[in-house]
Amino acid sequence: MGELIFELDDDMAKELLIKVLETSKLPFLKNLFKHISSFKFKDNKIIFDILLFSFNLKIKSYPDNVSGVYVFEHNIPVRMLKDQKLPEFIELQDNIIRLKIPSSDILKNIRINEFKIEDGILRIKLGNIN
Amino acid sequence: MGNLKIHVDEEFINKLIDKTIEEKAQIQGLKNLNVQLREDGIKFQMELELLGKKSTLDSLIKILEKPEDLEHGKLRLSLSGNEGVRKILEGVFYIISEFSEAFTAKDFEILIDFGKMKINPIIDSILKSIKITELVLKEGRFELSLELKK
Repeated sequence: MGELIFELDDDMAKELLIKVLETSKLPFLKNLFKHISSFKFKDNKIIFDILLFSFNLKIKSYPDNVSGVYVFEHNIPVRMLKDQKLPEFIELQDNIIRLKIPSSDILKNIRINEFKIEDGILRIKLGNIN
Repeated sequence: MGNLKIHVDEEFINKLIDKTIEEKAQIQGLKNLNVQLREDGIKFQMELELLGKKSTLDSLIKILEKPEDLEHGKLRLSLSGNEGVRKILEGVFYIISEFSEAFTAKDFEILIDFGKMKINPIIDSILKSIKITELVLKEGRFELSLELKK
């Protein structure tokens, strides 16, 4: 068929995220995520509860190829993050987060056939460009 | 649960290689590179054209030992097939072994010792908390499943 399937469940994603933040230079986010009580994948959304708040990120659009711009809608108060030095490939606006994956010889030849979040799983199906 | 699954078939890999080689004029002489994912290992087939002469080279990488987890496990591979290709592959791993203690290459056998792997603090701590539940090559597919350690 010519396919690569990547599946990640919410428990693994939460653990990986905490591990990445532990060693990152984002003290605010690191401390915040110590208080995470729930992290779920559902209906194309990542829903996470921290202290008394519930935040979510929703897939709005994704590129044809792996490299390109991924757009998510979110309800995270941006001012909370304004002093944090986010990595260059992340662009944060009031209700939108853009992830920009730079193009490379290999990535531009990989097509995204599916990019979905449902029932606790993030599923990415990749295929070839003809 | 805590699962991560990656499944890939050889058609995906081969089409990607074809497309990448096609666009890269730098890889002179290499006409085709084909990968087969078989139960006994990964087979590479290269079609070369050098000085007007065409030749096909084969190499097989066999998996002799699979790691159970990524903290202390070992992956042991053996190289066979065309001697030239075997030497090149062995050479590549030899160079890597100079930089990382985790890799050793000797007598066409390559050992990757995850216990000695130090990449960076983030990846090292992730590797420590993950175990491999499935690592198989069969009928043209590569399947890898990882689980969180409790």
